[in-house]
Amino acid sequence: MHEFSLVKSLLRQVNEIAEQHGATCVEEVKIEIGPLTGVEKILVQEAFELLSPDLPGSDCRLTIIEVPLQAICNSCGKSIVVQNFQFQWTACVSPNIRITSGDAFRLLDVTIDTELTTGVTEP
Amino acid sequence: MTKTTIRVNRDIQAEKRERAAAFREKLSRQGTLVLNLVSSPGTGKTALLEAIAKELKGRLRMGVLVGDLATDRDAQRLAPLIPVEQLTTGGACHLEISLVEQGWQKLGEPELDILFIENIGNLVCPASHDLGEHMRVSLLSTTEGDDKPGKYPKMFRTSDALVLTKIDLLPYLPFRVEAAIEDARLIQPDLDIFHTSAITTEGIPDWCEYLEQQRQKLVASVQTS
Ligand SMILES: Nc1nc2c(ncn2[C@@H]2O[C@H](COP(=O)(O)OP(=O)(O)O)[C@@H](O)[C@H]2O)c(=O)[nH]1
Ligand SMILES: [Mg+2]
Ligand SMILES: [Zn+2]
Repeated sequence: MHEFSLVKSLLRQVNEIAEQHGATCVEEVKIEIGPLTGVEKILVQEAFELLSPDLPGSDCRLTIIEVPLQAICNSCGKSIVVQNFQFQWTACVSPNIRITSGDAFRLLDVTIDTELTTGVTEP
Repeated sequence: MTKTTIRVNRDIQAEKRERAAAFREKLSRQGTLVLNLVSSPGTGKTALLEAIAKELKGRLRMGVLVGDLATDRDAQRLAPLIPVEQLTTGGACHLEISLVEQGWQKLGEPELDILFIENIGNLVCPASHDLGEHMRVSLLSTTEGDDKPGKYPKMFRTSDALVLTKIDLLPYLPFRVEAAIEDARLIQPDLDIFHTSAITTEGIPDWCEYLEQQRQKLVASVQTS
């Protein structure tokens, strides 16, 4: 859903970070998506190609990390990968699990070039 | 030139989620349970709200924010029964927290026991937007087919309750209630499931009793914290 507006919001956040750090060029943006994020990878890529020329340097690369849908069983503490959206954890008495990854659209890293010689590594 | 990699590791919707959490917190403190009703168009969200308003009249103070792309038809249907504010989104296919905050202001921020939000008819996008609700309620009607939960996993996964609507039509349809429930529970085992008809009012008293209990639970949890 709404890959275009999500990528717009992503780029707004990347721009803010680039500005804070005095970037002359944004080289790479790394994001994470998963099966329950509700986005299609190809459409995210297309939206990025269309919108990213507005970033400093105008030649930014998007790296998409696709993570599986992972969860932790609330009763036995075991970490599991959820396949085909089947959330019943049959090896355990409890069907009660908490999703730990694969349901969000996360901005992981931004790689920039700066004129400065001292590199800032914290956001 | 210095190349630097800045670690961010943040959900890009974090800001909206925080706003929704603040709204939820605010309404919790005043004892208002917020419900987000989601379903396809025509499942019977407005009809269910009409039935609830009649059933709980004089027992609970209620209000509705109802979303549609255009017209105030649903608000007009509900207005004789319950305080209501229509949210029209133009083209947008789901509600967002900013629209809910505006609607809540327009409604006059009354002291309520339950605030219902009727979302735009759509089983896709509303699943990804926290409206500051305490509970998300999915509706599925017998005319939509019993195979729908598995097709829209995010919506059913993120729901707390499932209301099967139009059960008065079961004699005329090949809808298998057990199959629909099984499909939904594979995705969300914790769903509280209800069977209702807004026409015959079958199942409406049970559903309303559940709503009263949920509201009492909220009040109790706010008092202890
Ligand atoms: N037979 C039957 N029809 C219903 C029931 N609930 C709603 N309807 C009808 O279904 C149509 C759509 O209902 P509405 O409440 O507008 O659905 P919404 O789009 O989800 O708000 C209307 O014509 C209703 O009269 C029900 O329980 N049984
Ligand atoms: Mg309606
Ligand atoms: Zn949408």
